[in-house]
Amino acid sequence: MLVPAVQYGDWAIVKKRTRRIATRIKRGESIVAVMTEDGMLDVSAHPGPIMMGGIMNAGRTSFHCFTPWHWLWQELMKDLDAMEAIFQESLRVSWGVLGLLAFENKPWFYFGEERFEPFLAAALPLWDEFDAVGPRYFTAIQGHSLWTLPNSLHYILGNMGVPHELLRAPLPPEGPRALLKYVRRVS
Amino acid sequence: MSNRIEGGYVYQAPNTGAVRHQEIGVGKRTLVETIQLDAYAPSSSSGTATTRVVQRKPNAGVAAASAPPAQADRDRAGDLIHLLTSSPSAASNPVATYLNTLDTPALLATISDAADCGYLPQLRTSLASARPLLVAALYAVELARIGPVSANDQRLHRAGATLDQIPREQQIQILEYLLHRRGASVEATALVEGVLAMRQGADRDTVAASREPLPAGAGRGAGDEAGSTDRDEQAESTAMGPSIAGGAAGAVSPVTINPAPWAPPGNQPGGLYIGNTAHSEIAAVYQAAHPDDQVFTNTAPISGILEWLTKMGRKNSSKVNDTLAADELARRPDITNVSRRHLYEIKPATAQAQAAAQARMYLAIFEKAGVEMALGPSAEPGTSGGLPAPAGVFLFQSPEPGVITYEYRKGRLVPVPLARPEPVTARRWRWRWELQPLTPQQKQAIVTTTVGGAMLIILMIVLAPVGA
Repeated sequence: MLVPAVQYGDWAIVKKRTRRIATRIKRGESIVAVMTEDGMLDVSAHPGPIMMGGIMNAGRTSFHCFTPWHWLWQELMKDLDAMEAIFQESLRVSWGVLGLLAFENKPWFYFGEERFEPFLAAALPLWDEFDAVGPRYFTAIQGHSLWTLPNSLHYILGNMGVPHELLRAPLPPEGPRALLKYVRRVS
Repeated sequence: MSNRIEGGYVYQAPNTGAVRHQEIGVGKRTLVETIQLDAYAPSSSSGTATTRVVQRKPNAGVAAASAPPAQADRDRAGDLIHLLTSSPSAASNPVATYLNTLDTPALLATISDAADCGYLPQLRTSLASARPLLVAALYAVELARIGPVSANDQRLHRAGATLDQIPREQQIQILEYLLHRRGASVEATALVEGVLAMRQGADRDTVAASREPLPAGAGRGAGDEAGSTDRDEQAESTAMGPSIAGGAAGAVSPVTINPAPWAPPGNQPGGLYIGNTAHSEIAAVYQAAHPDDQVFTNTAPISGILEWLTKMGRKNSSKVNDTLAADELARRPDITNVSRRHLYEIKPATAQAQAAAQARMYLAIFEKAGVEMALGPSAEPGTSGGLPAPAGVFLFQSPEPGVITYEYRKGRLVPVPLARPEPVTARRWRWRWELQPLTPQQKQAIVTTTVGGAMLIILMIVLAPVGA
């Protein structure tokens, strides 16, 4: 699984880096172009947890896959068109989908159901790639599989009618696709 | 055969998969925090008597008996210090005579207060040949002030030998004093029962081991078997995925919750590490329990939440900028569930009052902004349970609306189905708390020392700071 190199490192450094990147994105630059300027890293070739949100601490080298969307959500509230453009562009790359999947970025889906189906269409084909990483997804201290951490997919599927107990249970072998049969169509 | 003591340590014979544990109810209020969490606790939470001691004459003790407890303690300490600083009498020991008039809690408080004022050396001299209760009380006061010690520390063994010489009721009072002073929630009676059960178990093991031949080339002991059980269960638990518990689990049976590695980022202080971890993990449990709710955690400022509500047409924008100060807008409630209009503040159990005040403050801020919120109900899913913590476990619960408190404990949690039916509103599981496997040295020390010494060793293990 490849993620932008700017997301990897000590939070003290990644925070500064991605703050600057968020500013550039707000000014209209492409999120994909800006985020990939320093290249990509394969998570299997680099140690460290894959952080999906929570209180970040400096002093540990990690992949901070939830950033910069969590800042952009707050800062682009006044420009929902720009926010929507970033959302759509993020869906074109796997690391963008992973970023929006992070529970820290669930609020990106709090605006309404319009983003549910496009996100599902982008995320479900990538699920196996994300899941293959194994229990390296973190909130704070312990690695989990992506499904067992709260994530945006839970929010979307829950709001589309999938029962809570299925969202908390282990996934069937075919992955979250198996839950689509419980989904009611979104208008 | 196993020894099961409700609400206390339980020790099972090794050949039945021996583990040592203590049961505690999640729903039971305990005002507990380990000393690592002091950064989050009110500054005066230690309960130590650091107040100025006023010197009084010995005969003032009668008046002190009717004074309020704290004042009475100070008065008694004043009396004791007066005696300690008076010329010693060859024929009598006025210090011991005076202390003999006090009941055990007052005795401990008085010696403790005098020790706080720097009179430990004089107390040691005066009580060197006093009756066992006084010596045991003095040892307890000293132990309450020292840092982590090894199981073989001679101070523990001396104190344990003295503890053995006093009645069980007084033993319990002394252990309670130590536990209270060190900020632990273990009940002294549980400690005593547990140590006794453990030693009985060890005695049986010794007898059994002497009768059974060991497999060729294999060494065996109670600890070895207990350790292998722990490892097996650890592996099983890890394979079962997240160790989320309490209301979030719903119909799913919770699994054993084992400690996570102790790995603070950088040079982060232990207290901050524990606090941040607890906040992030408890918030994640809450989110998992409310997968389709619009939940914000403490990474989202109130300004962002209000702006989003405005965009969604769920509030009037004019109130935000007009009525809220910048610092109010920058505040970050720990859990804001907009779908349910519930707010929670997460704090260590020792800071429950602070959490309640903070939650009410957030409520007031939202109210000023024209957003109706409420303190989250205590029975909500995701507001109680157990979680892995760095080198230990978190027990968390909602003792009052809008507040989630947590305790950090070394050891691990094992879910125990309730033995008898309870009302449907009650929690369906309770948790058994287990000590982490003891080291061979600790086990050896516990089974070879006095009962009192074993109690103190267990107590010091329970109270040892994280990472020590």
